[in-house]
Amino acid sequence: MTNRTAVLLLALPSLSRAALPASAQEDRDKVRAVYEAVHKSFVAAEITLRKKSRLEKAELEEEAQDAETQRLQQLAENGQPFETWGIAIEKDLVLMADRGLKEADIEKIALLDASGARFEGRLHAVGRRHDFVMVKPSSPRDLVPLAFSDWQRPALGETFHVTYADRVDGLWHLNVSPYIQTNAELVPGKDWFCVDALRPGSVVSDKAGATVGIALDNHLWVAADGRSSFLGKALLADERITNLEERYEAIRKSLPEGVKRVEIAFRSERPAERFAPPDEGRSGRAVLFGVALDAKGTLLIPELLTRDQVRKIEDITVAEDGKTYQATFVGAFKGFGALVVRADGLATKPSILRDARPASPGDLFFTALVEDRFGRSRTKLDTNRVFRTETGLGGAPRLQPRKRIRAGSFLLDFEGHVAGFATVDKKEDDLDEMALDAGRERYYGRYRPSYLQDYLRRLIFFSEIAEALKDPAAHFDTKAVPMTKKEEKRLVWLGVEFQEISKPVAEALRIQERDLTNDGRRGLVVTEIYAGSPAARAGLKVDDILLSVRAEGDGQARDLAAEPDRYAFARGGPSMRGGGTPWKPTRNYLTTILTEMGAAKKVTFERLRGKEKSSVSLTLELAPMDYETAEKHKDDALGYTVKDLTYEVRHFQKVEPDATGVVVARLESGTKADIAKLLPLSIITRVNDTPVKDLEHFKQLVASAKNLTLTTLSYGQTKLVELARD
Amino acid sequence: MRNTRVVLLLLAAGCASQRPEQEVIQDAKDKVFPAVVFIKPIQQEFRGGKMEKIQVFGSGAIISPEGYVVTNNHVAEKATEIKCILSDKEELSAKVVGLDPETDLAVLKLDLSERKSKAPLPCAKFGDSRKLRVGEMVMAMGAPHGLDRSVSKGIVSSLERYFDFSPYNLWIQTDAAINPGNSGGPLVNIDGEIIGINARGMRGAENLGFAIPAETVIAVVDLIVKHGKVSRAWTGLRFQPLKDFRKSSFLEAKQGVLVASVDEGSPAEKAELRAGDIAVAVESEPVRGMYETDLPAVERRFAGLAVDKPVRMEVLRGAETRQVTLTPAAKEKQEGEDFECKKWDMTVKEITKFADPLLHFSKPRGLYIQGVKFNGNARVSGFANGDILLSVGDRPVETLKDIREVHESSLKMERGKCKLLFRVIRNGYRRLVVLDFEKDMEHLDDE
Repeated sequence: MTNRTAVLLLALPSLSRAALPASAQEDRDKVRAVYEAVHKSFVAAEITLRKKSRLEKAELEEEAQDAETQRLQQLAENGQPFETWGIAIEKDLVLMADRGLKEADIEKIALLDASGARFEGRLHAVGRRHDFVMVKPSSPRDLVPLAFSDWQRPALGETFHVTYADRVDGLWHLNVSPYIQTNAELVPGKDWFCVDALRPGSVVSDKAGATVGIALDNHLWVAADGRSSFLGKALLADERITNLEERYEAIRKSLPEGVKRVEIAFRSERPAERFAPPDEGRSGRAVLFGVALDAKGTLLIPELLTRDQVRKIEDITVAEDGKTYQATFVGAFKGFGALVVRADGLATKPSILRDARPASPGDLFFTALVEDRFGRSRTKLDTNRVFRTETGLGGAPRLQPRKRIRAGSFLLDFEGHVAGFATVDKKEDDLDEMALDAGRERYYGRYRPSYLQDYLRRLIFFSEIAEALKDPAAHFDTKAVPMTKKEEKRLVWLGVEFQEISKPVAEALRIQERDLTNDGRRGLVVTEIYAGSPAARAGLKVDDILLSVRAEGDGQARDLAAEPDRYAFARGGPSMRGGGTPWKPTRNYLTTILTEMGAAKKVTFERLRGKEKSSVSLTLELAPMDYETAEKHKDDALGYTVKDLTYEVRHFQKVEPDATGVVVARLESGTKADIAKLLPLSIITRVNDTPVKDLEHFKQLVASAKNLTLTTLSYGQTKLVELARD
Repeated sequence: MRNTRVVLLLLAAGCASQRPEQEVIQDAKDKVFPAVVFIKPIQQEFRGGKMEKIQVFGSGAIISPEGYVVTNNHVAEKATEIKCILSDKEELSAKVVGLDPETDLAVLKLDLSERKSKAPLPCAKFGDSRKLRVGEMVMAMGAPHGLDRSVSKGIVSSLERYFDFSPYNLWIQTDAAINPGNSGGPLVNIDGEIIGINARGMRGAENLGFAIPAETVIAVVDLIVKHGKVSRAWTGLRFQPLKDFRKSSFLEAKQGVLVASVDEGSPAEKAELRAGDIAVAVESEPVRGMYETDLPAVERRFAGLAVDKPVRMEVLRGAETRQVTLTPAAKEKQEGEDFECKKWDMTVKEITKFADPLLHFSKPRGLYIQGVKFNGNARVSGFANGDILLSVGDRPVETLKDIREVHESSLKMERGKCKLLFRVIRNGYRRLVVLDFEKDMEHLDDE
């Protein structure tokens, strides 16, 4: 008796509401009736998962896995079988809620039916429009299939039943749980939802006790157009896909035609990166894949590059059939992570489905992740389904796939055409973060984002971005353009040095009463003003406090809230061997913000002078050359590197704003200049008594004489340095 | 006895002018040793944001019956109290007559009223250091590492040592053991004369000791005794020998000295002298600056010019000879005075051009924070060593008088309101820092 009948347990479902007070007897009868109708069709399953090889595991770790995939991985690792169940829908066919299991992952499926018979099965098919798989017993069986009725939609407050299986102490049990429909739409429509936590695979019986479906999700829904996550008749009628492998093969053959391999070289600035071994993300090269948008070599690459990364693009090439084509950067989209490049001379076939609509929930689609592996392109194919739609960034709907899709993957429709891509939403580059980083001088670009928050992941089907594809230029981020190193370093300036306000200083200046500085959190106190700068001309004075800045056209003013100055505790004095400089770097919190706003932009500062608040408007200008961007010249024989004299050096060394000369930027040890005690960071004002006009002039003067007497100026002290060229 | 004398005579006859070494040494020693004193000053040390009194020791020699003692500046400077122990074991107080940091010499005067002994005060004589020869035997007397009344013996290793921190003299180098504690003690020749004052050793070296030649000492002592200090003229000229081996710079010129640089705002700048000029003659007297060892004489020459009295200089610029009129100014002090700001937990110091050229560049006349106490109010409030004070509250601060007044009134401020807004220059850039001196950090752990 105990072998053949599952023990009936009246379990209270975890989220159930108390049964209606009216007849408890009715309830008990209902439960029994439901049980009778369904119990024979349950088939328990123990799926032994194949243990993955070390290389396979290494690849898996590269992708961010969702919880369910991780769980399966863990079971496989531990050699534990995955316990689940299915429902017999034919004599010879069991339906299970799709767990994202693939044939390749499974070693063995051991099944146990309600009669106690044990047999094996294998994955036979997946549902085309519903989230289920079919398991076929290895040898013919005589299972009791479940018959489905049309359903009667339970109204608010009405009870229906859900039956699921569970294994406790090695014994399989069935649970028949009453559910009360407690959900109703705010605005009554035709959709129906029950959002209690169900176990996928549970059998759903309606209020009359009729078997109506199998839950494929952990909540039940029926859409106005009749699609559902559980209705049995629809499940049975769905197309069953048996030949996935064949489809994969076909896709693998057809995909390369439309997907091209693009190599982007980035300018890497950190010395460490130049010498690092050439592995991905380190050597300044990224291999990405794009789809053709037209016949002229225009490719869309679903990859997120920050503005900083785009600025550092030096070279783009497309490799095809052994030939390399030079490509140009066309643009990076504003709202989402994708960029467009154009390969000159590359003939392409526009292969995307421009009007591909987003997949409906439950619909099977393919994903293709094309990767570069040791110079070859490799395509990883997988199936996936849209699981639900949520509201994402900016309130737009976001499709959630059942399994996490790696950004950069292409979404293919059922026929294998490229219908969309997986990427990340592009958060607007946080200017505050960039500005604060500038103060910290920390490198923040990376070639592949290694951690993506779920809410930023986005599946985009081409119809959703039809506007952007029609007129890409209008949708590009105008600030994400490749720049030369010099262009990148060019700043927009106001012409001040500043100190961040702090609570003690705000209190001491007695500006706390009006709390304009937000308790000492916002405000930059002007401490120096550079001669001839926009600040000087706009009448800013030392001790003015700049509270915020607003660019023309911006809705909001940006608060100026900097972190404490890195220079605040640095030791003074010039550094000796070309390291730091005693003058402050020109790239700081303020100049980063102004540079992003752009030269020629009209801006308005909110300014506090004493206790008076007022506005100061001015037009931003490109800063003059500074020490970083100045021309330089190295004399290997004599051992010095000199740079053009720039404004911040003049200000620091207290020479006239129109003083000329060159700055000694670097000195190599043991060279003639070193022995002659030429001081780094000093200004060379004359060569053989001729005043130096600029770097070019300096080079000429040095070249024209064999014996050099350099007049140098440093901290007010003029000294002579004698050098003799060989 | 008879035999000994004969031996002695015989020996004397046999080696014409030579006496037994031992006797020579003893005689020489006896002439100076009794005059050597062990000096124990209590010095004020401004360090780590506070002023501490520390006991240091050095040596000196009594050079006159009035009780003048010559020693080093670094032994006697910033002393609140000086005690000297004489050879007869009597301890007398001494006061500072004058200091000359540039030559590292100082003159003290013993308080003879404290003296109990009736015997005449032992004095030592100076010899002529110009007559010294390399290889001559010398003795150093003093208190190495506090072991007072020690004598060491060596030779003159060199008479041409040049150090740029003391531009007015060349140094005597000797291998007689000179250790810390010997400072200020005499270097004695075999005739029992002081021919140098020991002042320096060299770290990590063996048998390298340095003494200030008597020639310099005599001149400086004389001026200190007369005027209490040594006044020098300042021209703003910095010299370099025509043949400079350190910089590998060798000029063709046969006479004069190279002007390596001209200080900003100096008399030389006003006279339109420039780096690169060769100063050939001053008041028609030729200047010799061929080698490094010639420089001290040149420096002395210029330092000895009368302040505010114009002198004629002949200067070579390129191929052109020019006549220049130079009016020397008075030389400012070398080191600024210190002030301890109690409760603020910091010490401030006057900025001087010579000691703090970089700070002077930012603010020629002013004060800077010489030290902040590690756990003190100043440091916690965000002050750092080297901050130049511009103003406190609304009051500009430039002199020690200013800071003393501000500090004093700050100590009277109400509890809960002990905050002052400072404007400072840090690393060349202006900055605002608020000093919060509410807590009494020094007495935090007192009951």
